Amino acid sequence: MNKMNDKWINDIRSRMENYSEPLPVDLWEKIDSEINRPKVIPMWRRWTSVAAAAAVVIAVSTLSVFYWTSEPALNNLTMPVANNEKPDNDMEKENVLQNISADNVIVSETENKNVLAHIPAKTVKEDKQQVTNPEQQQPVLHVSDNKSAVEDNNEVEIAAAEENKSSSKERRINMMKADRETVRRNASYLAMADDGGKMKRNNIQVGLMTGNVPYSSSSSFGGMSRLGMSTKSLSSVNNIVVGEMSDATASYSQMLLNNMNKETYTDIKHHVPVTVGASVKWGFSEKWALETGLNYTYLYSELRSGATSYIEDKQKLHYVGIPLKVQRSVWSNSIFTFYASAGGMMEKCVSGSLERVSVDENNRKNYYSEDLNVKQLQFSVLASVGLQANFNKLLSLYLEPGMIYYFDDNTDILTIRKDKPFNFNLQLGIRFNLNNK
Amino acid sequence: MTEEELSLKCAQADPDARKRLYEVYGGQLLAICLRYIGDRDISQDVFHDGMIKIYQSLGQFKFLGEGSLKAWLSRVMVNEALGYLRKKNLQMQQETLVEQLPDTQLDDDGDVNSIPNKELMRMIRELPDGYRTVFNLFVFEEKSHKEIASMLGISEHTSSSQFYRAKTLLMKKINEYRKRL
Repeated sequence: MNKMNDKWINDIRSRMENYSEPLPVDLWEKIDSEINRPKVIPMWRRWTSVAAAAAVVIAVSTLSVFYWTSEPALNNLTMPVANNEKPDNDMEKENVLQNISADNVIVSETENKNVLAHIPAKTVKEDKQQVTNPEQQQPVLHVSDNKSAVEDNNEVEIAAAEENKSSSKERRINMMKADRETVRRNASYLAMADDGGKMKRNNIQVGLMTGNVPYSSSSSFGGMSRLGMSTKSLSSVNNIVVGEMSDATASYSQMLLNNMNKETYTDIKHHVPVTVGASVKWGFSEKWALETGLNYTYLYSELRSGATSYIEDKQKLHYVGIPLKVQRSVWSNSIFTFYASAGGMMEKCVSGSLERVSVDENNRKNYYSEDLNVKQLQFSVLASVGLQANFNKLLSLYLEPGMIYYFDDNTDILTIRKDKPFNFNLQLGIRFNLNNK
Repeated sequence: MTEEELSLKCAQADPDARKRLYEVYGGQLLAICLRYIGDRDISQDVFHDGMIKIYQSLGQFKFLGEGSLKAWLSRVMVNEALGYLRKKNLQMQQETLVEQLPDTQLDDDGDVNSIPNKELMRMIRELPDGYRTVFNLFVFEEKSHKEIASMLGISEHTSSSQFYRAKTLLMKKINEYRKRL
């Protein structure tokens, strides 16, 4: 029986071993084109090239951050304008001091200390000097002369700085154009390389997502602060009271003056940011995928600053952002896919507003609103892990916890991103598979 | 061009050699896919993937004498086919069906010599997936049931019983074919 079995098996083996099937007509062309394809795709699977790509991403984002942040640096050239406040300020103080009789010098010094409790130490020091050296007060006219001289000087400097700025802007625009072209070329190259490939490799998914930093942030500290603009010291407020400014700034300045000798505190509450977005995910190989899309984020912050007289700010910011992420699938079975993802995001504030209520000691309320115009771009980098549940061939749900870091966008606007630049991030969404295979 | 030259030139991505390799061995390799998978369209897909893999990894091939190239190519293709079947994970589903099949007497030896190759191929292709896999591995790769069991993640007993059923079914088909002649 066994012998017979062996013979039967051997018969089948010898009959079938060299059996050849007729080859389909155009299969060779397909295989040929695929094996002769430039070795771009396999490169992506290698860790060295991934590391190189990551380095490029980091370099590009660092560079762009550098370029965006260097604009305010150029603005610093105009800083002498701010220094201008000093002589002006001195004038003010001199006015105050002129009202003080000479024999009361010591008393007025202590009074002044109280009044100026919230002025930075430097100004206080200057003040003291002036109190103790009354002879410096004399040349009032001289000071104002000096001031106009400084102003003249500044105009020249401002013009120079602006010229400088526009040429650097041009350079930057050119650079961005070049970058964009490179990106487009690379993308078309990749697409070309993958063209004629199998559809299941060219997997495209579209998705909807929501999520963000999953909690709000609040802080409280002594002193005065505000959301929309840089914190002002009383010295600059003094200057501003006589100058031109918006209503909101005026109310803030007024309130600062009202609270000059009171214990003040500030409460800031940044609400949970809300993000919604759409995404496109392109799986360019079995393991690797690129994801980009369009996000909308809403940031809402509230501030209360002052003492018995105080202001309440409500700041609303709307951002539109473009994320770019690289994903690598780590593990998967028929239902779940576990992947790691890293990338960056560029966001632009498309609209912003600040609503302010200022309440004075007599409980009189003044309402103001102001549009916030943020020109600077907000960059961030993030790394996350994702778990995707594939319900069927078409639909899957994913959850992506990760860490995000927001670069300083060099604005004076306080947001949760300024408060906690490095934060936990959670994303939730669905993906639709466009390939039915 | 000898087998050795062919493999070396293919490894150097010579286009003529690649085409020649396809022409010489393609048909046999496609037959392997068909024998394992059954379905023609899927077999062609797997064959396509297997060929790409072959061209990509021919650099690793070491020539060990006449016939070693064909053996190597077959092994890559068999692995590709098995990889596909494993993904489909049909072995498990097959086990319940096994028991329901009627036994046939083995007194007729199911002589294969009078059957055309093409018909024999069709019969093997028509075997249920699980049987076919075990049958292929046992007959053509000359694996023991122990090896098959560990390859497919089934028990040794399942492997031998599936082979027995496959053989029985195939003999039945052969006998039916001969009766029709």
